Amino acid sequence: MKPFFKRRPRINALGASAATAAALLTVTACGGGSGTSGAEGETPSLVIASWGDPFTSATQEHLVAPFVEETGYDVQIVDAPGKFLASLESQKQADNIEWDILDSTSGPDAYIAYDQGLIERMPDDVRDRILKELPESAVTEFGITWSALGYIIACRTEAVEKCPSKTTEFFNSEDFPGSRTSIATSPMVNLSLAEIANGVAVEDLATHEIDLDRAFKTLESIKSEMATFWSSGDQNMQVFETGEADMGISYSGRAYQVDKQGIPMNITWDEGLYNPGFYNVVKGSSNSKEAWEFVEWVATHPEAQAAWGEALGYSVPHPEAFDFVSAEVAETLADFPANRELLGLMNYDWYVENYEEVNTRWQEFLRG
Amino acid sequence: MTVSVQPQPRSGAGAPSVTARSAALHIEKLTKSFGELEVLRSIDLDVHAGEFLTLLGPSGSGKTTLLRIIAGFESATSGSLMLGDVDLGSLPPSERKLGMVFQNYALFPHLTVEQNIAYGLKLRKCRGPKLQARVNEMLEIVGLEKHSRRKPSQLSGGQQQRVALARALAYEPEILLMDEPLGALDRSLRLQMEEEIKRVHRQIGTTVVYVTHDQEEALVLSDRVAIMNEGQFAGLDTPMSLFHRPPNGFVARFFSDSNVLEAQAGDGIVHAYGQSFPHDSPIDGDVELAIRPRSFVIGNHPESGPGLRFTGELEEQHLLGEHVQLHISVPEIGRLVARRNIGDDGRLDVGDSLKLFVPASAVHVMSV
Amino acid sequence: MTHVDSHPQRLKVGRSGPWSAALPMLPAVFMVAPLVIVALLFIVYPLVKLGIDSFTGGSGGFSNYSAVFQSAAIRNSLVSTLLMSAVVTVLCLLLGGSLAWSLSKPGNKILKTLLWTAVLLPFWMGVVVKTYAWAVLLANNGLINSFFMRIGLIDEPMTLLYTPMAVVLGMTYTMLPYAVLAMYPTMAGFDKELLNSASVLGSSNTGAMYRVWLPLVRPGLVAGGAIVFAISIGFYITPVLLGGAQTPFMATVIGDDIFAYFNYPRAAASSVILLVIALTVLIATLKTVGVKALKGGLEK
Repeated sequence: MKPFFKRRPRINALGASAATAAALLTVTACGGGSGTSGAEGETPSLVIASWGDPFTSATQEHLVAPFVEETGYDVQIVDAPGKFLASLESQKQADNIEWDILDSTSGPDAYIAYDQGLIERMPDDVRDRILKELPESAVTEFGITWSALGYIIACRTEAVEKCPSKTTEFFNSEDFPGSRTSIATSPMVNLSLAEIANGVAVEDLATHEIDLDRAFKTLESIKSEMATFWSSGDQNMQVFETGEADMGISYSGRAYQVDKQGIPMNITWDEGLYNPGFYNVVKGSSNSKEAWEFVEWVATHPEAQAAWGEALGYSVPHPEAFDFVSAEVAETLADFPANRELLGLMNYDWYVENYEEVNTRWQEFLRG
Repeated sequence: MTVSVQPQPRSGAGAPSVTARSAALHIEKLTKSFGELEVLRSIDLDVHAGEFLTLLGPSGSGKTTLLRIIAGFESATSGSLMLGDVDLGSLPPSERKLGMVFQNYALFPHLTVEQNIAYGLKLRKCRGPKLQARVNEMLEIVGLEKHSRRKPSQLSGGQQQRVALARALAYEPEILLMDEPLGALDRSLRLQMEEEIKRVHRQIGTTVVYVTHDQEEALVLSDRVAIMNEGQFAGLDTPMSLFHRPPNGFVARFFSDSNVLEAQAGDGIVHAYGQSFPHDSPIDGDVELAIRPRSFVIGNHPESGPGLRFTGELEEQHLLGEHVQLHISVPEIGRLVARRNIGDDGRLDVGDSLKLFVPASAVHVMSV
Repeated sequence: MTHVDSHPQRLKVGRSGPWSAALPMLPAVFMVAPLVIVALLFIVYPLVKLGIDSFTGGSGGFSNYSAVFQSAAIRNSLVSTLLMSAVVTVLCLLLGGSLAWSLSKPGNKILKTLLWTAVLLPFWMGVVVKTYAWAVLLANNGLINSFFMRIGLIDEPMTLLYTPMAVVLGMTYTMLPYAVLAMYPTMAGFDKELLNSASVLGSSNTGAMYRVWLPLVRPGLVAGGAIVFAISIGFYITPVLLGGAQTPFMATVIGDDIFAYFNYPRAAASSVILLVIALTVLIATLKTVGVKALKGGLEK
């Protein structure tokens, strides 16, 4: 696992527009433009935006490679962890759509993107075919769920006396002392977990309207314990590896990775969040048809899904995929029944309505 | 103009041992080595209060090193250095109550002439009207009243030198050190400055230790000259004595441009090159004879009388303004240098055979 | 067939007249044109557009600027950025100044070569690499903490990473070469004999440094400080890597405005504010110490 960040463009006072252009260049370094259409007998090419290794390699190996073999299309993967929405906005503004497919868009982001017209609606015929294989809960208007993960509480067993066994305990820094961390780039995750700690039942979360004042107050109560907020999967792991954080809100997959790499972690799904990722097709892609072909291919190949899920520890939608996954790995997946029933779902509709206020207040909280 | 006598706090000593601003410098057995290289070998020197002493020598003779040791920029390897009854050895330059004029003037470029001169005064707690009066006094002495507000870069070389002099003398140091101060000036300016320095010295009466490689400066300025060669004194006496009665071959050549010949003396007779003449020098055994170029009588004069006679071939003639310098090659001896006035009769051409005669009275006998 | 002239002909050797190094107008314009075009296109135009966007975007007028100052996060950010940059500048002046001074004095050649290498090496490393090296060094299980725990000075690792101190350290490390190179020419050009001169006149060592050395190397110091400050306020990577996502440096909030909140007009306003601050500092420096000192520092 490569422990460094994708190089971020340097923003200085000499032009945010220049910075945006630079950002585009770096994130689409391998992409080089949305795929060409197969119109003149040329091989259609697709560009998938993904999250960097190990995500990218797993996707390449288990999904892209066999798909390319079957179809002969040219498929490239570019890395843009956490930057899907912003980049799509830029591409739209610049009138130059560079991506065709979004890999594992985070739940809240996907809903926003659809609301803003950045991703396509799934064609009905594709949808019908997919529904033959995947359960309804795994298929939305704008894509299939993919790489469902849990936002869970991970804790270094060797660093503290007792690890919190559920979210409510995580927010109790008196009884559970230790330096903490959480995700910087998702206010919804932080606020939802705070509300759970404030007493909202896990099963009610999906329809609960977040009380911002109360939720932020809860977050403030542990802010002083926060060593830092991580903004990428790599940093999520690094913060535990270097010992800066004793416990924190974490991606489930990353937490298990840290544990696998030798730092014993206590991972609790109790009162965590279920976050589906999505495969989306970008609106304005010049290869919309071929892009949905890929999505459909992924939806209908349980073995490929299983191999991918096994590699990364993130959940895949096909019910038969669980048959191909080892029992050990199955336990670490968000869709594993024993885990799934402990997890709550975020209220995406509420978020779409209120995201401006949520984002503003989150920024103030983070840096105010 | 009067020299004001101000009581000065002395570090270490009790009551001041000299009243006028001049002190005696006493150097005993001073040596200085840089690693293996012996630069000064056991120097003994007494500089009398108020005297103008020049350290004269070729480069590498150690004169500048000696001066820098007196100033305090170098420390001696062994030996003692006393100013009056104060041991200078342990004192930093700032506490030695010296004044110094540097070869490149070392004027503070960011200060005006006035401020440069005032620098040392201010450090001695001289303020206000008293300070201004003294500065004006110094300006008058060196003749720079009209330039008081200028910066050094706006002055000519000669003017800068005068500022350096004024600055060094402003606070009435007990000894003034001068390190080849006239080296960078052209000839006419140099002669002018020699006059200035002499006048200032007469007026103020500070003890001066002056370093130069120019024998003419030494002649004009000094009360005594210490001629240095390879870290030792080759001669120490008044300029006239050194000139007319050099103590050894080195001084004879270096200071009075004499010809130096080998000879033997005994019982009042000197034998040289098969000739002999009576002499009242008390020296016996191997001797050296110093003959100044002017002392030769050239031509076929049937001079009788005790002395030396040579015949040689004229190799070179150099016109030096009022006189002509002749290089005559004499067998067994080598080259003799003679000098005669331009008006003297007889035209001489290179290649001519010449007869030279020097009377015994003009031959100076030196021990080897 | 030859014919004889009554008067001899002048030899024509091309254009008569002395050779001149000055270019005639037309070739000169052509030679400079590419540079001017590039400068206009890639520097002037984006900056002008940035300024225009800041006034026309969003609700227009000064609304974006007031948005900047109304947001507590951005306000704090601006203050932190300026304060920390000031601290970095002071540290760079002190450290860089003594380094530049040591390098300008005559001394052991080998030692000086080593020193120069140490100063210039960071220049040739990418900013991400060297900043990350600091992250590794300062981490709870990093070299520094391990060392102090090993020798028993502390029981628990100290929190060094994700603190303002870490950011200041990393930035000072990155900016030190700039500071040294900006100050070196002035110090190298300083006549050391002046210090001897001051000494003989009665000045203590510190006094001489204060009264003689400082005023004369001041242009270099001011230039160095201006350069370090102007660059520091725009830092992005080091504050993020060493200070964490919550460290409020202006570039981070501008980045947020662009990538997370799509508030380009406010981002433009923030950028213009930073630009104006940097320009003010540089122009003020130019006025105080003159173009030569500033150029000396930037040329390296």
